[in-house]
Amino acid sequence: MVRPVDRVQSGGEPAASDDKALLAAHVAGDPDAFGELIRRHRDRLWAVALRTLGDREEAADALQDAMISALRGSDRFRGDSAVTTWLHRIVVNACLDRIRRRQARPTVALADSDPVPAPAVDSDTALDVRAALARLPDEQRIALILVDIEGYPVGEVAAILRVAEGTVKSRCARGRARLATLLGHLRNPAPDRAVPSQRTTNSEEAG
Amino acid sequence: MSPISEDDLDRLADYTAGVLDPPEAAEVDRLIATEPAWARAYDELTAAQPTLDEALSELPREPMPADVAARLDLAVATASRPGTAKVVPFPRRRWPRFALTTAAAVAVGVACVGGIAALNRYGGTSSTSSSGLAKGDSATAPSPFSRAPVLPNTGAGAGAAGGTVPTTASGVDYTHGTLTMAASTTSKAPAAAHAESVPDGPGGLGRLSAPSALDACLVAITGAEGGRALSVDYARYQGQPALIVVLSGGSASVVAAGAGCGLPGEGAALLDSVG
Repeated sequence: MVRPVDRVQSGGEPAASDDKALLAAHVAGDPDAFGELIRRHRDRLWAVALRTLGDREEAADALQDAMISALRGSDRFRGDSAVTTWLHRIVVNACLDRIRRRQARPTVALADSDPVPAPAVDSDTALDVRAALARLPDEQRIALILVDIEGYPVGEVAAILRVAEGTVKSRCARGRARLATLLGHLRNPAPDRAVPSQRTTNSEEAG
Repeated sequence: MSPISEDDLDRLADYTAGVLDPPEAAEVDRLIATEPAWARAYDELTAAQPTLDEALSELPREPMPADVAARLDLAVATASRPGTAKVVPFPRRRWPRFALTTAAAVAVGVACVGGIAALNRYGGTSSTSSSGLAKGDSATAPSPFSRAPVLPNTGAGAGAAGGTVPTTASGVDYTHGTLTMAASTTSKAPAAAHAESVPDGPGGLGRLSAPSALDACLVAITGAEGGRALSVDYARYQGQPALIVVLSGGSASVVAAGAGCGLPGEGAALLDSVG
């Protein structure tokens, strides 16, 4: 008998149907299926967690929390989205949970947390961009990471974040504008409203 | 000329993204046409887009580091094992050093997939708590990397009437880096030993599933490292079948022993140990 895991591994590029087969195999009791599913996508999930949290250990913990949570809750996956969308949503939520807990500790703000260890070949630009990303509002940073850095389509990111596509576009555009300011491409906004606006406009919530 | 405000910068960003309603977009059109600060901000913002694209695209890729991958693999493998427990019993007369229980091994059913249970010396059970998650509480699963309560003492030194060394067969392939994690993993995961998952065959661990062989192996390990065994995991170390033994009170906290462990002339057949 060919187990779902074997069937998937014998194929080429990962496919969404293979992901669903792996998840179904896991729910059916295959002890290797979920591990295989995670191995297929872990680099992308890791990148999202690391860029969102900006801290290696926190990202590792968040990703582990998220994957164990997904493993335990896999029988509740309804199949109305891609498995990867579902996994990313759990990872993003785990990261947001950690950010909220971190922000609840007044002495540890996001911008003050340990930066992501930079590779030896990292450029000054990359360091600047990472530091600027860390200063964006969380929702804007996550949208930017998913769309502009990791390259996910706006529609998929909307599904991951469970918001309208227009909201994703707005968050990305606002994040880019703020990033441009932080990187010196744009004059700083007027100081009379120096606190970054978390205002949600009608346009942001519009589809 | 003052720059536009942050709220207005958000409006301008929405405008460039094309998400404003037509009346709002028309208003921004008018502001860009009539207000120098708006015109300048618009010019700067649009001019910055290629530079931003380039800066974002040049961020280095972030593949998962090997140690994080190993840690995640271990967590998922541990949590994925069905929760049917199997404990290898050791007759007391064969293993006085560990003062083994005469009670039958008690299988601890774990309701959820990958559930982890702790077995106490009285044959009772205690389920793990979700607080085992490392520094987190968003998920409901215990983490193999968080410190779990040490299993009940099975050693003779405590004068116990009996006890067991809980075993598991995670099938995990350990490295030196992940070996330390076994202390927290196996000390709270005595369940889920499946004979079919014990690396068997030539050079495998099938021999060590026999109580007498495991007895001899653990005696050899504790003879070499001191202390007492808290748990045993039939697993692998750097690809080869290995018994991962968590110790308490010894010179090492976790050892990896090869398939020859306990055989005459082989001693503990240690492959690695961590303090």
